[in-house]
Amino acid sequence: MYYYIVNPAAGRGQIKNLQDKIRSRLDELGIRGEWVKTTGPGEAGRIATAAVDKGHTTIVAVGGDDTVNEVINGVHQDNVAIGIIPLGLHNRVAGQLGIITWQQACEALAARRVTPFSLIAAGQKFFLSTLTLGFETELDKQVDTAETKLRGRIRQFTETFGHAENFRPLHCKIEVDEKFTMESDIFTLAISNQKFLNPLADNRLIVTMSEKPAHRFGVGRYAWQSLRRRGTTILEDTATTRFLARRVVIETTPASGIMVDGKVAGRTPIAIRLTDRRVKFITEKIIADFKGALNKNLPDNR
Amino acid sequence: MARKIHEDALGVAGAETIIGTGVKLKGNLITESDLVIDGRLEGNITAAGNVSVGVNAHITGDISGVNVSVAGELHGNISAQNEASILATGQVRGNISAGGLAIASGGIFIGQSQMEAPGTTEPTTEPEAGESEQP
Repeated sequence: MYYYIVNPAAGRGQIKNLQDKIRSRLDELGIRGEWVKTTGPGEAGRIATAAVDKGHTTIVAVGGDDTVNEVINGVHQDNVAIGIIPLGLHNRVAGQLGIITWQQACEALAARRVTPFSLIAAGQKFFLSTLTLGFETELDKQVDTAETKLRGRIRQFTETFGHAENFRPLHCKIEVDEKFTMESDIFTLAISNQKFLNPLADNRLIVTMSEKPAHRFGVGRYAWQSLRRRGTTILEDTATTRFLARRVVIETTPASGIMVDGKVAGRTPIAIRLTDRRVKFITEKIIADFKGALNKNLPDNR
Repeated sequence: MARKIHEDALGVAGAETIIGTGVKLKGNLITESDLVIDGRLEGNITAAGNVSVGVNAHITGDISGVNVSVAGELHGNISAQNEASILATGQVRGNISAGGLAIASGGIFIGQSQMEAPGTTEPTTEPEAGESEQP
């Protein structure tokens, strides 16, 4: 049976208006299940753990990236599939899995196509999506990124650009797979599971680092991109260094906060590793088909 | 939106390893993909794909790859399954073992070269004795 963990505060409480419609659609699809609301931060994880212990094998996070990450950390058995109904302000994880709207999410849940991903551990926390460090980590403290109107967006960009121009690069030392170390002054660093970015790829950490753009135009372009994507993704086209790894230990001077999916999740120095812990995610049809079609030509797709 | 996700996904599919200009590396770099390096490295490179040493790169160590091209500075040996090339700005001080060797005008090579047909380990020509340098 499906088990829905609902964050009533997600997306500025939009679940209030949508709850009946969503439950009605889930009824039609025959996947209504249990519907449990959280009462505060961190509770989604505890509820997920309890639900798995009770034998539920499909846990659905109804909310944004924070809710999804809490559920990921609460699911401790690999026979459980995690689904998402994206209702948060930031729905990066769902979007990358091909799920954009709640209607689409309901269809995907009913189809229950799953793709396993290895989770990344940053210290004691597990996550699927993207860890960032550097310029973007400090962005939320400096700029109100929740603004959505045009005038607000222009102000956001101006503030972000100013922040980017004044940001002093972090001196970063990274030990990679205990094989080599690298040092660089970084503007930003991002780590993700490359399979999360490309379902055809192996589970590996993909690390991208960018130096501060030399010209104001470059800084402006970077500021615009990071604002548009809200600091939760790898900005590949601005990356100057990119490599794959299984474990990295990052030290910075000065010490800096790290963010997971746009939320502060620790500080340097920190070890980040790809774990053996695999979680099945319910993905959108088009990604499952896309993967399936290409799988025919791939001898080994872990 | 779905289309955009696919573009992102495919954008990473060819994930070659890139080491940028400002990066200093110590240790042995092993990669299963192509490698582009434009930083400084003290250590060896072993790549399952092609290795491209950029104009700003400074490497002290050996390089092994399918095709190896050098536009920067290399103090070490090259072992290329196919072709090794030294571009106009490239400097190689070390020995080269490759299926083919190309040195552009202006490229510097000080060392010995040994030609091997792709897929063989036996040299098809005698190794050059002494040093050679092309201005």
